[in-house]
Amino acid sequence: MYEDLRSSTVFSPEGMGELVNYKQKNPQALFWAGGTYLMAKDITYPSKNPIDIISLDRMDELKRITRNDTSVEFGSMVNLQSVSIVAKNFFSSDICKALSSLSTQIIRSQATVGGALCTQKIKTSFATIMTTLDASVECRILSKKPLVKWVQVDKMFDKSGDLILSPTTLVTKLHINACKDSLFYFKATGSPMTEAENAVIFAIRCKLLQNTISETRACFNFPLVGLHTSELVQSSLTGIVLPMNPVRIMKLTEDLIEEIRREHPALKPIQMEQASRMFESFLYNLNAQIIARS
Amino acid sequence: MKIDCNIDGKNYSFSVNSDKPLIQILIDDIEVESMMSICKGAFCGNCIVMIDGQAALSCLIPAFKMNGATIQTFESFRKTRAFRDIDRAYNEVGCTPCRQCYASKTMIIESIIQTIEKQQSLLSNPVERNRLRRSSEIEEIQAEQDQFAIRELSLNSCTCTEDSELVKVVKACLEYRRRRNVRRS
Repeated sequence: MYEDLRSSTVFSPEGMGELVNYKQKNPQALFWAGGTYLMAKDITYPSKNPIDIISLDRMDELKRITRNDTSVEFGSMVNLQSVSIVAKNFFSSDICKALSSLSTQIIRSQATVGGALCTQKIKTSFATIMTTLDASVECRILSKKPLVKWVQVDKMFDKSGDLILSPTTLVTKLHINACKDSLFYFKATGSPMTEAENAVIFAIRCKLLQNTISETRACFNFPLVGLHTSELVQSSLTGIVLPMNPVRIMKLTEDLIEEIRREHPALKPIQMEQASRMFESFLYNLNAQIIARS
Repeated sequence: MKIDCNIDGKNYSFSVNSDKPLIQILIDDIEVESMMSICKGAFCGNCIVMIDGQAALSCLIPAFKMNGATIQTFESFRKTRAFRDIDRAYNEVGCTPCRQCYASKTMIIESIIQTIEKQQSLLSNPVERNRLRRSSEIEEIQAEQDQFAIRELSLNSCTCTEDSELVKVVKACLEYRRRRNVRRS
């Protein structure tokens, strides 16, 4: 069964210079971060055409966590478990709970920031949360003249959900501003890894000042279709005074579903239904919180 | 590719394909009996091993990541005192996983217990403990621990046992270890 199989060539650079040299000689070589997605979906052993691998495991500069009073930067090889631990100092408890609910600790210890953001075929829950937090990534283009640019997480994907970054671009850092006073709501049905075709993930962040909603950032994730950052939700929720009338909630939900249907015609009816229920549930939760306070 | 690693206390040197998953190495080259299924990354959760003391799905670990690692499978774990605690807890609660998932669920329970014990050791500071007692946060922490255990156990897709029963196993096992530590100190 395993006869005549060529083994993948694995290159483990220790610095950026080595990595650039190797990538220029082997542009088709695949970046290997945690390998959670690649081993589960992309790499099937035994394969007749094994691909060359660049393992980023020994790149210490990609494992750094830099923080100050207002922001935190994670290297792309930091694992999601470390992110959820460090997050406690920078984000509200709801955001921390959402980060700790991404899969199990066993998987989070293996999955990395870079891997979770740069999977080609699916969009992960981590990307959804980072979009609502307005996070941005440092992209390094591995050419003779090294070029570095910062890209917002939601701008990493096009409308159809494909990763825009070229194969010679390496995500090196993730930058997030601290937000301890924001309201955060996160809901996921199904896992992007095991039920990608039916899963829906929803995250929304907003500020609540004297019962008025402001600075709303909402993101729906349909793993195989793409991320949907709803401008309509963001603009129509901002400035609304709570509690909201149920008729208004219904109208807003209908508008949202219409917007999603227009932009992602390939979505399944079950995903539409789930998205509308999640959004409604968020608004009713918000109403309940305000009524309980008064 | 040449790989040197330690599996169940023995040093091995293999010449294998660099992307061969650890589970296949354990089945083909070491003939580990507790590894039964190859789901090829479908997250069946039946291939848990400890790599350098941390639980991991062996189907997600390629050979090139094994170089220099210390791997513990259920075969050697079952000879430890930690396993005897879990086995005793299974008997006390009256819930034993089926043959297919027994090894993996036991390894997951061990990983849960290790994490909870680490958290508890952080709370060993008397000032912190008193503060928690006063503000009755202990119940909240216990509820969080139960949720954590249920989430971790969900990694194994076998439905032979109820999660709530396995949470009882975790609690019983934690109690055995706590008592043993008290006796020691």
